[in-house]
Amino acid sequence: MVRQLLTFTLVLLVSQAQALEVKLTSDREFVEVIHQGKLVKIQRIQDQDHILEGGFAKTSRKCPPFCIQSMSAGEGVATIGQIEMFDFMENELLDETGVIVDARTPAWWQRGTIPGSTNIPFTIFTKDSEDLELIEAMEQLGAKRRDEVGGFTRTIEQMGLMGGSLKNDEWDFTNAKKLVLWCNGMWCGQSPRAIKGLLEIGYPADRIMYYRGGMQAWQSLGLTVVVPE
Amino acid sequence: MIMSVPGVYAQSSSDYLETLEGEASNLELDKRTKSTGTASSIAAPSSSSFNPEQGGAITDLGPGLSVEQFEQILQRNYIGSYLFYKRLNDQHKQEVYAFYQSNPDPAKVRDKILQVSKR
Repeated sequence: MVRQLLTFTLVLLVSQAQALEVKLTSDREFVEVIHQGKLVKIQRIQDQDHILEGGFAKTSRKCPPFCIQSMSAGEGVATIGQIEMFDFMENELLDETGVIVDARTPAWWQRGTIPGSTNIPFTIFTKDSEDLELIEAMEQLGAKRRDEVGGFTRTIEQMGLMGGSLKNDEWDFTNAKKLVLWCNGMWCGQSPRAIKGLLEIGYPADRIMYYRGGMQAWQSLGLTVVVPE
Repeated sequence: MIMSVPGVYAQSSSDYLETLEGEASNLELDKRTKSTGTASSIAAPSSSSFNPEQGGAITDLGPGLSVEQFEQILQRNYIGSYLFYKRLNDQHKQEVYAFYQSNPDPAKVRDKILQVSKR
């Protein structure tokens, strides 16, 4: 009995020693995601005296183009924070019903990204619907380019039948994934532009989320980033 | 009198992209936030049933693929091009494959598919 109690105490002490002091939330120390085939643990810098360094410590950039963005990126599009991002990583991203889109140009992506993100630059979403890059990107998001649709079929769809509410002349969004789009933060227009492009294409607004804090907020909280290989 | 500046900044797309690239080129992230490389490698989920007959995994268009392998790589890596390719008749598909055999460059193959599909 005494031996069991000692063992239990030892385990408790070890687990307490390993517990992080700077957690994500009161009940969550870290989140794990798969990034480019590797498991990455997302946690915060544990040094409580650390002050942010690097490009995201900068307060000011020329505006325009680096202007403060609206809280909303589009009608019906939810704006989210870090906790919703962690939840998304542990649910939709894990079961592959969701995609986290780093909507920045490749030069930004290559410097470092939020683990679990896929780089689809905002410029893709402004392309013509026949463009191969756009078709490939949309396919990654679960949307399909439609072959020519007959007038009668389209009329039926427009009445809301045959799943028509999730289809337009060019795209079928029936299996479109839930998305979180982000860029550099409150002063970055890249993900709002991507969201605008997606909405113009017809992507359902209720499947799009905007992580407005972006890399600026991510860095400010000392959260893990990865440099793409 | 308070004057507001209307948001009519008429910056062209290319100017905007150029500014973005300039800003990105100087960017450094906080070194302490970078993943330390302790991440363990795990098998990436794959929706493809592609199995190369021999040798290492074929991940992209390279010389010497069979028609079947060529189509599988196209479907897996270049779905947009594949959707156009799929709609071609057999004769045009053969033309694309013949082109690939002498030019196994993915960008050129994709251009070829687009070119043939517009006929």
